[in-house]
Amino acid sequence: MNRLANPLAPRGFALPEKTSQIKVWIREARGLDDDVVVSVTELVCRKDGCPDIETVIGIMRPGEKTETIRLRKAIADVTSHDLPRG
Amino acid sequence: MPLEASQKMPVTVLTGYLGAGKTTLLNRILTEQHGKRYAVIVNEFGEVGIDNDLIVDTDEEVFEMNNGCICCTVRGDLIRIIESLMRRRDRFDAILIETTGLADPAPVAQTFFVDDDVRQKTKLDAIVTVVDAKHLLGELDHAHEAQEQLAFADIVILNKTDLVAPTELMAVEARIRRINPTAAIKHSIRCNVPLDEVLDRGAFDLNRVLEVEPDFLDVEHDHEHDDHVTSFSLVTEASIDPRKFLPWIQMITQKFGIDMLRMKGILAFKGDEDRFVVQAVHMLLEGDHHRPWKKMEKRVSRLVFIGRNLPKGLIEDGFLKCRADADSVEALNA
Repeated sequence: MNRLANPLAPRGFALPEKTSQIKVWIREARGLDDDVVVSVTELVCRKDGCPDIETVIGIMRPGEKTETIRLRKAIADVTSHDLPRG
Repeated sequence: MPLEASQKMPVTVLTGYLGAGKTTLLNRILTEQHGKRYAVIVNEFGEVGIDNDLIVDTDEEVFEMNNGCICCTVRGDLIRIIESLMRRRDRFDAILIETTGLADPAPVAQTFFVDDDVRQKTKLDAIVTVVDAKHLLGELDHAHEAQEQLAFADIVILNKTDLVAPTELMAVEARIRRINPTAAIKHSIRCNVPLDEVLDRGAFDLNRVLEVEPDFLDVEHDHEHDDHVTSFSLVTEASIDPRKFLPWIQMITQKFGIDMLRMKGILAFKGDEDRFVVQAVHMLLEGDHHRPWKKMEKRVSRLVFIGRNLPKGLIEDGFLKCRADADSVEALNA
């Protein structure tokens, strides 16, 4: 049968090196200490009005709210120029 | 290159209320000969009587992630420690995380689905919850944490069974089943469960969803307890229309995800030879085609929800509207 595109498919993997690289870029751009945690996620959002794919960067400073940066592109396409400076 | 699933470091999460026997189990895993070397992330360093630089002490750092589409909580400390441990990945074969007695397992589980670095290098193998057969019923009545730890479990170690009478044990097991009908329950005394029944279970592997206890959904439960966390299952022998089901389950996850602790299901889509498997932890939802339905196997679609005050009637109504023979598409409105 012809199957519908599966919107629930487990996310594919960007290159691990690229995810680590984005974390390094954001640490350098923001001058983050080691106790600040940076997470990088590629999301396929299913809501109307959301981009099909986006990269969400979470900056978790102890005792503070998570700062979220949303980039409307896949992890593989993120460059250091996409990251806002502190 | 991305790692194959088999190359990813398996992570077992050990939860349990205070005094249930987590540390006893942890010490067994660390000292018995089972051929695997574990890196361990613990909360109370002093409780583990073993000096080893692969035992890492941590404090819970829970962060909320809210990007407008998906809200979840993650453990920042785990992201940091796992990044650091994985630089020494040749020194161990698996990771074990012991949580505090009062820990909420949700941020731990969600960490493995949210951060791509963690997700690419590790895989959540199973959440193992140790409970004390003697004291569990009292704990469940007084502590939401105890209920949520049970709700998240893939494996429940029902420990200290020698301290209760057989009838009491049955009552305890029935209460566990009511909160979590999908977990495998292992009886033990001093956590003497065979370790191969606890470790390397692949419980979050889509290929193994709902394979632990295949008959669980056929059991109806009584409801004399007003539990904070409850479960219900939905079953239909009618084929499901994926064009209705897929948007519906996404909408349900989005709408009720905050209170939906875990959801698992197997679907028989109309005209599809393969089973479709779904699972969710709060708002984090995934699903995929699985093995073909076997020749003699009944094509039954089953969903089980475990959560806080989920509107069963509304969800059941929406699910039944996803049947291929249901003529409306109102399912989308749940």
